[in-house]
Amino acid sequence: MALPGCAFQNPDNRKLWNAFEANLVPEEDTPFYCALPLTIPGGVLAIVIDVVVVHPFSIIDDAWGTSTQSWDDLDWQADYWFEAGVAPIRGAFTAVRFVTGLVNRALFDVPAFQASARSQETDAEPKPLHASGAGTAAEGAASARSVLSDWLQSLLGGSAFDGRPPTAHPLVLAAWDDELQALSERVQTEAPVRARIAYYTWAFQCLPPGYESTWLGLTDDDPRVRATMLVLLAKRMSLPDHVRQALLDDDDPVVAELAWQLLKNDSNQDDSNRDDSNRDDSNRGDSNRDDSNRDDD
Amino acid sequence: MRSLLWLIPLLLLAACAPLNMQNRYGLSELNEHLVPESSGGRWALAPVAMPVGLATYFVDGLLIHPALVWDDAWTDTRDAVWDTRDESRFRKALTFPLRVVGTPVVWVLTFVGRWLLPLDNLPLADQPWDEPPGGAR
Repeated sequence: MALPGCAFQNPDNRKLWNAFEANLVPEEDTPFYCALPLTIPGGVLAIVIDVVVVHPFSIIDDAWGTSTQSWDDLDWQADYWFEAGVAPIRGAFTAVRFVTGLVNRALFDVPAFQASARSQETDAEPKPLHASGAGTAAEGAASARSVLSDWLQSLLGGSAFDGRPPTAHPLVLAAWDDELQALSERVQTEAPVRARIAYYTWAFQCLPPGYESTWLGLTDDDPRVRATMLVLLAKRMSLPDHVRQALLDDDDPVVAELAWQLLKNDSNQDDSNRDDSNRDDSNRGDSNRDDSNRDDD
Repeated sequence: MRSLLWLIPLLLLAACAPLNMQNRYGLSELNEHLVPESSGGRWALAPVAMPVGLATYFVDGLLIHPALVWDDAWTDTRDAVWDTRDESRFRKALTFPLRVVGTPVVWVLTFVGRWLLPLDNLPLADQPWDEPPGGAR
């Protein structure tokens, strides 16, 4: 009986007790004291009924609303097999959450569940694109296509972009079409240097091979792009031979030196090409790099 | 029956990774090819879809996902332990035994992390990024 004390700190949670006190307890002193032999047991009975019956029943709908939140926004069209497979588990957790929610609300003063707020959330505008499961797959792809198009346009114009492009791999693939491909190719040739670096950095994470045409910026015309992307990518991926060799032979000495520093241990070079006699630096002694390529150094 | 109790924590652990949509391989295939268009069809299929979907979920988490990330764990291990590009020959020789000892430990840790956590399965080094389709350009 003492446990619901926390819940009863809030007068709204003791409805019968409030009604008893408001209607059956005299306000004048003499009748008040005279009625005490009746009002005290009556008050205790009101508290007991509040605790056992009224308050638990009054919070059933709140507990139910809270526990069934996980059934909102399920995508039975695009993710049918997952939703169907986990439905029994979701049902079991709903039951557990309902019981624990009911006990929690019976014992403690928990704010009422806002069904209206929940419906507003459901009807609100779509979630951000980077959130998984936003709407149906087709809606997600259409939204992603729109945001990607705006982002690529902003890169082309060198203007600020309010937001960020989607990074979820499947979402980007679903959105990609000829128009975005054409835009991305324009970004790679026409956008300012920093915009191109931003594009290639994003493309490394989000685009599959073949969608970017200048090998993630490593064959970009501008040495600043080549150098930046080389630093970014050298430790993340193995470069194909023709790209690695082009970087090692780069006309820009900074890019060539960076390539030498970052790619010297790549093992795809033919060991027979090594010319160890040219090496005076012990740190370079076990490199696989062909030093004949560095005669211009 | 009691001897199968160890399966429970394993199933619970393996249930985490497929919470990320990118790690639902079998379920994605089913969603792509076997979803009835009509609401009635989806309800009719529910008695089959519930057990099959649940089984596929655990197959994704227990079999397919670990089979696909073990080499990513090796790439992580290689980058963490065997990337000696900035080190001298002497330091390489000195730390070689430590690297040998540390390799299985790091691999197991990264493999378990990649297997059990709902991480994005982003492409890594030595993945198809090495060469664009249709050959180098």
